[in-house]
Amino acid sequence: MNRGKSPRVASWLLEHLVPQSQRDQALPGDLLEELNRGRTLGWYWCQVLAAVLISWAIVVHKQKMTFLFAILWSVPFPMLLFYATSAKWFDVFLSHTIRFPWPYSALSELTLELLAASLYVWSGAALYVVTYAYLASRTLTLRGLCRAFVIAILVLLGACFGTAEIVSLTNFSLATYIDRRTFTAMQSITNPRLFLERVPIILSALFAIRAMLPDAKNGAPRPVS
Amino acid sequence: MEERSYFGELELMVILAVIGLGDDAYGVPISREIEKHRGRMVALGSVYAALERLEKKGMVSSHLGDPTPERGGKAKRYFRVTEAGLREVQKTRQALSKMWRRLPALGEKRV
Repeated sequence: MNRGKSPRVASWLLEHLVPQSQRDQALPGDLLEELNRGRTLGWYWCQVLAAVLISWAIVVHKQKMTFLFAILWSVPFPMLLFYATSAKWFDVFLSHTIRFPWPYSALSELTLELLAASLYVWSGAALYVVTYAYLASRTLTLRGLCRAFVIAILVLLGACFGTAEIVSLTNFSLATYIDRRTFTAMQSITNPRLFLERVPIILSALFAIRAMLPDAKNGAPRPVS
Repeated sequence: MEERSYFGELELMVILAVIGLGDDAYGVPISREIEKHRGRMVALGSVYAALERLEKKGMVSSHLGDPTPERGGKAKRYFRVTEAGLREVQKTRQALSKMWRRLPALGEKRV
């Protein structure tokens, strides 16, 4: 009997990793009921992980065009970033910023890179949403657009910080790997090590598009009497 | 795009379980019923995903029951088949029954 022994971590995962649209008190209640009737903790964990995976598979399936667009939009980003940072104006900008005392010099460089990435995400999200709105005859609200812009930059910040942490923890250093003299546009697309640079763009574009185009609600049908 | 109305394998099992259980059709008995007939464990998440699809297609409807202490104060979601759902199950049964008749016995020569 496992009465009252619901694993907190699994329950937390169920509560926080299942998207809000599909989160219902029925599933956690059912799992708890089965656990109290004698199912094992292993069974509970399996059910929770399956529920999380299934719910995210549904989200990806429902939003497959958005996911596909976000992935494709992120593909040329490392190449554009590479050419932008190789340009003369960037060197001029850097020569100005390094005159600032630390941390302002680093902050101004980071801000510029973040702004460039945000502009890239915003233009991609706007292109997708305007095309979608035109094809699906949907109207866009200014409030939705503003919210999407804010969400995009917040997600971008978080994802950039997350990928920077992964790079530092796993020694997945790009600087030591990429030779700027021989680096080509094709390499920037095919190089698997540049995938991490695309992750913040993918996540940010996804959240921005979802903020601009929230899901429609469905009506309930009449039961058999 | 129009939502398809025919059933997937799990959806058919789920709606048949909902019909069989009547007023007591919620997640736990539905998944137990499927496990009993299928002979292997079924993820409650996939049962709920199938129920959600069925509800979206108008085949079943649902309502929340009262919260109970043995479920950590969480309510049960009860499901009922709709008229459209029942009609679709009947149509599926007719179509499948016709096709099952052509199934050869094991070892029988196929024409």
